[in-house]
Amino acid sequence: MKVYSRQVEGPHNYAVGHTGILVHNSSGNVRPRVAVRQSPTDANRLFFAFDAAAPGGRGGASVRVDPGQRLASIDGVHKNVGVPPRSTGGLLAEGLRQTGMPKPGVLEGFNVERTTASALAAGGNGQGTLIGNMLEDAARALGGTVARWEPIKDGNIWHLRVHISYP
Amino acid sequence: MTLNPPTPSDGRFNEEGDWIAQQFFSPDDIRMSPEEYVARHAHALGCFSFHFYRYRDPALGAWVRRVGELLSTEEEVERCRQRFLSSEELATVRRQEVEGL
Repeated sequence: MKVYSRQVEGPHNYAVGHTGILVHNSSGNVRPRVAVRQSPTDANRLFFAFDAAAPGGRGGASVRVDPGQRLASIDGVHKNVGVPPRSTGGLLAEGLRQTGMPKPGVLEGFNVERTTASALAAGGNGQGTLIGNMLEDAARALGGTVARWEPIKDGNIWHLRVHISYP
Repeated sequence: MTLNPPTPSDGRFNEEGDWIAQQFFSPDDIRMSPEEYVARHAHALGCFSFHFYRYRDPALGAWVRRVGELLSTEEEVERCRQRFLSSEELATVRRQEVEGL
């Protein structure tokens, strides 16, 4: 696996609003809603802390990036309970922009929660599920659209990948 | 989310989970029992894979594995909620659960 070289895009100068649109903080008034931390032993292992989005609401995501495959895999996510529903995808997008992966080709929810797993086991493609919505919100916030839904059965667990296309 | 690990071909979890668990969970979280953590947080979790990793800290590893085990079945999650949440807290959890992430 290629080691990912972070290209920090002036993280203190960007933020994603509730609409998911990236805004530049040229006026100096908008603060990032996501703080990105990198594992000291693995450059591709990241944690996105969501607390700044609504202080006290906590939340965050454990993300593994694979630059070679343009893949960002989310293997742990806890929503910030202080932000409006359906905000987590936008926060993931903001974190990805800060890490220098503003246009991933694939987003993955790894070991999805029970309701999404049940829908996938029943033959669904993931669209409209809890994790499907989160991934689709993230894709939209990144400026893309979901071109393909890919449920993956892995033993007794399920992952959901969305393949993203950009204009 | 289930307890069973991914296929052996997936080398993803051949690493220590201590760092990422310490980012994801607060010290207050880890002071709770796994049952209480699940009662208070299961509705806010979208993906959870930390129980698949190796841990240098055996106490942290045991705590995380127990959380993963509890999250794997709806019955266990519900049992934890009934044990730890007041009726008001339970109503809040039910509402937030359907709101999505």
